[in-house]
Amino acid sequence: MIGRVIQANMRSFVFGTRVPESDVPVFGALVKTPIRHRQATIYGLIYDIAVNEDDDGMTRMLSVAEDAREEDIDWQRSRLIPLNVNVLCVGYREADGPIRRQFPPQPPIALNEIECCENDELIQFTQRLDHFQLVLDARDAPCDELLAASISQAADAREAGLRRDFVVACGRELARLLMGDSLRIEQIIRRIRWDERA
Amino acid sequence: MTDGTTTLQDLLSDRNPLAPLARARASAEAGRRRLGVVVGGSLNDGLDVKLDRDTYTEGLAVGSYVTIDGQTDRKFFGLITDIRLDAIDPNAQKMPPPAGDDLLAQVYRGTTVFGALRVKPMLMLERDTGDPRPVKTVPAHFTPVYSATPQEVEAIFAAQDAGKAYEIGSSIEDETIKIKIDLERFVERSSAIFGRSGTGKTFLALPLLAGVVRNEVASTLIFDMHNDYGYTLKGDRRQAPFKGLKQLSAIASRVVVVSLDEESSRARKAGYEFALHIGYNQIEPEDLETLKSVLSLSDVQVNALFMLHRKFGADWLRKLTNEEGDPEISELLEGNKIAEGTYHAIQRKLLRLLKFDFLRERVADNFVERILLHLTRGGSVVVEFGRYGNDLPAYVFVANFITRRIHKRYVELKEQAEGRGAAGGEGPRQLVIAVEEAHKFLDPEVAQHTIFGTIARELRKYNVTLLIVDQRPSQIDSEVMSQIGTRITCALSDERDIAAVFTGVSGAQQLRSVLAALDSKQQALIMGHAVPMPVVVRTREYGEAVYQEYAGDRLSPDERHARNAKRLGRDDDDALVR
Repeated sequence: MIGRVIQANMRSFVFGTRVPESDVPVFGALVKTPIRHRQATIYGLIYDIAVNEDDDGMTRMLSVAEDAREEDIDWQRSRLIPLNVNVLCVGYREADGPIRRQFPPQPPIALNEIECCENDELIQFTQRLDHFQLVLDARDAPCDELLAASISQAADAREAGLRRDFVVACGRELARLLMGDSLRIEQIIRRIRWDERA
Repeated sequence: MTDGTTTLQDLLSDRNPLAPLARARASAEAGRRRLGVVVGGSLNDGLDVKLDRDTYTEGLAVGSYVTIDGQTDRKFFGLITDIRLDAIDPNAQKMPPPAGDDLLAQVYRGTTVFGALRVKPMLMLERDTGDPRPVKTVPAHFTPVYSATPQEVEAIFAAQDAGKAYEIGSSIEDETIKIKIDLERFVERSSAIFGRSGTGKTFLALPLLAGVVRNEVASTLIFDMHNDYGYTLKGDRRQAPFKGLKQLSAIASRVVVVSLDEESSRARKAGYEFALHIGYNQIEPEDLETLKSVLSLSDVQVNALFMLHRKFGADWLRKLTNEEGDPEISELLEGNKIAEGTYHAIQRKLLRLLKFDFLRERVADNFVERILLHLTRGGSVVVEFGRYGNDLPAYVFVANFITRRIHKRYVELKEQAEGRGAAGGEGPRQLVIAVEEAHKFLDPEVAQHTIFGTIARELRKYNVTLLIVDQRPSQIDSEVMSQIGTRITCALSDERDIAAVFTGVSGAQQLRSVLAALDSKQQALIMGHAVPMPVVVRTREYGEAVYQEYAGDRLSPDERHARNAKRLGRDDDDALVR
């Protein structure tokens, strides 16, 4: 578990997290959270991560203090102030049913647990690319950046020999959805990075 | 795709010929190769087909056939008339991926940029009967388009009567697909073989005429301008001469070679049946009227010819060309019936023609009658011009002279047959007159006056049709062009000639690109009456293989007996006692 839901609607939800810095989920990562409706699991892509200001203004003071001590900064960091992570809903799965890449029937409820998807699940989710349209339609998310980041991660989750083919397939799906808008397609493709090493 | 959504598998391997999945599917579709889908178009302008991503444009050719399975169990047959590269976003064409950016190029191909075809629907096959019918509608959007299989193409070109079908060549895509034309339909209307110089028109016409003779669909009269049809056909300089019609054993007995130039025939060691001589007394003004432009005769001069013929009858030309002056002509001059200038001009111009050896003051025999006799008995005649082939006035004069008389006789025979009613049969045996450099007879200025123009326009009314062999179709009268039934066109380079070939062919503009893409040798576009739909063929090579086919008469004794009885106009039973 990396956090719990703070707020949610049909299209997106926010969860709070205070995991160690090294474990903070990254932009574009696929996360999931359960809902009770038919024991479904909602999948989402992280599209924003925000650091909240503390209530007592300590962080603000420390940020401008000229002689702030390292132990004070560490103490402030350890006060369990959560990060707000915004997630775009891109699909769900009912019990043992197939993954559906569309909005879930219900939003997750408050304090539901959030987990990062492992590589196997990420590969499984990206066997189809119909969620691209949901990302492209997202009003608040930086959709092109988000697509590039999520494709990069999904490519890296695959075997080395399949990564390039996957990126090509994603590019073609984007070309189809964007009606051949070559400039935009090129911008997205150029942002995709994957590890070419085996 | 199973539920309407895109799978990665679809995106990666869909119809990719290199992918195992696609290979499996290709074999499942029994050799049919999917090319793309119909995305637009019309019956008149042709269908637009968007190629599948994995269909290589390089693997397609203008002139190839495709099949389209309609929604109502109909199969459409179409001809690729254009192949182009298209783009959804013009920016992709203006700003292509940088050199070396294979990823972007791979993404764009088949999505942002793609290959497209223009397909002209040609025929519709009803699934239940399989009968080819003219196409009157178009398939719906997104109907898959396949390359036609050899079996499909062969089924279309399998003539009803195999005995009257002539194999003119093979498909340009697959040499195992033999393309046949229906010879009976070919001779039924005037036909043409066009092509610029050196494209093999004669190599195409000679075996075709041999096929006509062998299958007994028509008699043929060939005006052999360059001495290529009778005894030997000259090849390239490096090649030995090819066999002419007279050397093809199976038909040799039915072909008569007539020489206009005995000296040339002897020098070429080309055997001939008889030498053709024409007497001045046999010439009529109409024979010379055709030469109006060749001899630069004015209207006044032509009228004078008719006047002289009326006055002196068969002797008119001898009197006219008498260099010492004929007393009766002098009377005309003195009486101002004919201007002296006109007379001298005519005399000067005609003497240019009358210097030819084959023209004599008096000729005892009527050689044209002999030709006619042979033709009406079912034989074929090759008139070899010898050295006169290079002399345009001689060629135009002789061809017109003979053809006028033959046509006249055929009209008489046809009318006699009609007079006899149903019992009289269909009239004289079908005759095909093959004429090279046809534009000399059919140019818009003279076509109205020459017998060739008349034959071309009258069509099959009198059982005489033309086989025009020419390199300048644009110089042939458009009215004549519009009457041509079957057009066999080799490569043409002049835009006017290409346009002219399609005169009178509805919706043929799309075929222009097909014609423009022909190889300069051994390729031809055939369209019209003798083929079910336009087809591009790799023409058969004329040589040993064809000689073998004509090595001997393959008829059994019974068949030969029946054929002879038919030629003699007897019933089989009373022909011979066997």
